[in-house]
Amino acid sequence: MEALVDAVSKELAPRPRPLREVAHIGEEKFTTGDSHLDDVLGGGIRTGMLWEISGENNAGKTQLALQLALTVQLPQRLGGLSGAACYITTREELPTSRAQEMIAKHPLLSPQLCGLPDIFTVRAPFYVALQKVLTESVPAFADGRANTPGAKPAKLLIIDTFTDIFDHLKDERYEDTTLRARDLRGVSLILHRLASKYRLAVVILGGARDTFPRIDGEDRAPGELRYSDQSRWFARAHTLPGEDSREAVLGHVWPNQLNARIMMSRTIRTRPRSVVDPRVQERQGGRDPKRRRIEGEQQFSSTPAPDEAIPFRRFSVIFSSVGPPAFCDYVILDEGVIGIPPEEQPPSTFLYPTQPSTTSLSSVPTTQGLSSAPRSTASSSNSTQTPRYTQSLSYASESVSRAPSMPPPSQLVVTQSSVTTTATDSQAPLSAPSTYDASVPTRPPSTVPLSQSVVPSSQPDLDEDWDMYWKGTEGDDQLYANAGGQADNPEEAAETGPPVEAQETDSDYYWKDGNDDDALYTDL
Amino acid sequence: MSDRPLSTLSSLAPPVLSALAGAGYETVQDLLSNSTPEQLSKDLNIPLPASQAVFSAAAGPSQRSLPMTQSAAAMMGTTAKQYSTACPPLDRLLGGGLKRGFILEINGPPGSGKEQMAATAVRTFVECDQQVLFVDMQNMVLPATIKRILMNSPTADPDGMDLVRYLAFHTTAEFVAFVRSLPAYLEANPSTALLVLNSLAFPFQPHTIKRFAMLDKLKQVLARACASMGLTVIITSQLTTKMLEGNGQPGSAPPGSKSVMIPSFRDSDFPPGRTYRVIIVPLTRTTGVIRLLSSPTHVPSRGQPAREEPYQRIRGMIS
Repeated sequence: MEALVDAVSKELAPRPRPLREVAHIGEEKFTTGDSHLDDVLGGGIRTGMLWEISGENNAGKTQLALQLALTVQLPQRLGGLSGAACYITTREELPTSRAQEMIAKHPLLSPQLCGLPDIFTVRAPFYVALQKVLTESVPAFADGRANTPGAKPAKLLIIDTFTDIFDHLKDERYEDTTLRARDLRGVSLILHRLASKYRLAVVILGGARDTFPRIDGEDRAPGELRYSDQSRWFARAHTLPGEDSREAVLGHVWPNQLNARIMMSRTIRTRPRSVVDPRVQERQGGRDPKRRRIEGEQQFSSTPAPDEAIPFRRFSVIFSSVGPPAFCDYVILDEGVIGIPPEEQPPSTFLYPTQPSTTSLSSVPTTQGLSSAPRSTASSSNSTQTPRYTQSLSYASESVSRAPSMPPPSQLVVTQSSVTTTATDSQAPLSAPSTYDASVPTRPPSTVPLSQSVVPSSQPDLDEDWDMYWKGTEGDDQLYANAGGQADNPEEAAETGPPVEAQETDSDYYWKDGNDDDALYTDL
Repeated sequence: MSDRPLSTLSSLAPPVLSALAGAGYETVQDLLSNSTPEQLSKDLNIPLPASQAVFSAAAGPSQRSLPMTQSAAAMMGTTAKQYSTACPPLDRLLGGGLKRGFILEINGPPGSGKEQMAATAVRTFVECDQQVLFVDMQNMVLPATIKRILMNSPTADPDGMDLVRYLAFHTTAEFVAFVRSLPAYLEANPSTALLVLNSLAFPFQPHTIKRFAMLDKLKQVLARACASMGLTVIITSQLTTKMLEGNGQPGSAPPGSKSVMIPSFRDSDFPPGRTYRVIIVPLTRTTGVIRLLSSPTHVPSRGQPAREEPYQRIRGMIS
């Protein structure tokens, strides 16, 4: 009997292939439509993997997902895969008129190259529906495309917004965490199999909620790690003060399933439109829509507002199996999601030359509340709202300020091998502010705008910044090397554009009052 | 341990012992390297669970604070050569590197880089002209990544790629079929020196009753391959979250109570005497420690601090 099972296994078992034969698997990727975002991702969105893009409401996740569903259709010479997309929605319908606007206005997209017919969309508001869609509708679509000559093959699967389905406030069955864990594992298996079988990029969108400091103490045993400690590193981003006040909603079971996790955050930084929007710069007093509206309403243009303050947002890779953690900024314009090189100095683990590393420390004092005038007004006006900004100072500032302080504690890391290293690390940047005064004139203007005021950055200054940050990467294999420690730069050159609020007044509510809408999720 | 007579295994019933003696099995080594539970049950005409019990007893208890005796084969090692894992802190924990015939299991939270470590270790074996079988079960390391790692080294040999075979699957059924066909594959490819089982916990996620049988079978196959052909194995596993009530009891806790992340597998799931188990513990965004959970010669008992080595991430893992 055993021999029979062995024989059957031998036949059914998947056969190993020589690496040379399959080495192309994993190379396939498509552009997001923006070169800076692509660089952060390690070349673009790769197929055959499960990506999660998390972020609070109105951070721009749907915007980016829509953009991906269009850029995947582009031909290879423009960075696409000539592929089709499946877009599964859980709440609303696909925003088709926004898609049309992007096709019309985005520099890479055009009606001849991409369009709605190659986006297969379906609604799946709850788990059973999602399971059915993933096991029946998506394979049917993908098979159909594969078997039809001349049709674009399915290359992208988007689920917007995945975490809604497992939200225990929307579906009370999921108050049972065991059930939720089981269903999440089930979906994960289906998604990974789809990704492998059809060589799809699976991109799921997830929500983010406020984090709350939890101090649980030391690890109980060598092999037991405190979840609340560890989740800081895989559920939150730490590239910007305040960024880690948000964490991805699904934890415990779900982060283990992902190959990569990205966080899109709204921040309190702003830029004037005149600096950021290329069209305003080119045009002489041309017309420009001041505010985007949701689909179904007419877009109206108003008189241009070159000094309108546009929110700057942050795009961070928290972890990825195909690239190191990286980040950039982005704005949302009519044409879509546009990336911008980060204004803050990246942490010095990216092996920048020494000069930037000193300025990296300088970004820390501004978060510590020094005497510069904009800072104090910001903190006083925010004091009633427990903004995430000051929240991060109290709890997460350790982790944040540790990052730029790599040069001094390098000796500390070697000599200490216990948890006390973290405490010592945090002392280093805290002492750093005392050596800087508020003016810090040598810093690039990028670190100034921690207030709501408009930043009168001039174009030449930004150019200078970009030259400093930019290091030519010769290929995406440089973006994620092995442990050889090559100097790399996943950051990208800039092209700024003023962020335009892509949703309606909802975003104003969040912007001003902090988001109380997001309920207290459980840890799972 | 290898020369220990079977008659000294006190947990076996006398009829079983006499059947073993009658069939010619005298020492533990005889039993472990020449048979499997199924084969033994056939030979001795005893039910399968009984023969599995024989094997478990022969394998020895796994949790001990005394140094464990190693099997003679493990002590000999096919060669004394140590293969670097390309991660200096890990090499230090291993006492210089990974030797042929040993198993290394790397645990870690999401994003800690354990899969990348396993993929980078492949390079050492390829540079020593050894064949590798890389099995990926969660799309963490795609073939292009391995190729990039191999081609990026300064001593890259374009033919190095030919030494690596790649296999990907996700389901429990495929895993079972793989494990059963592995001995035949190894027989057909005897120069395979390294087997990587990446994201081993993924096919085990659907909690089925077969889990123990599957793990037991894997353990037998690995033990035999390590002993007979000096196969080296690198395994990566995710952590599982265990909810604790306030007083430390496990249970389905209400939200907000403490939870810990623990390795998905137990010490007893791997062949004793040849397994190193480590866990990556991130302490900051870019630094942390790698802790040794168990090694062939030592299992730290409760209360004893484990050996750790600090690491620093520069786009990967470096000391």
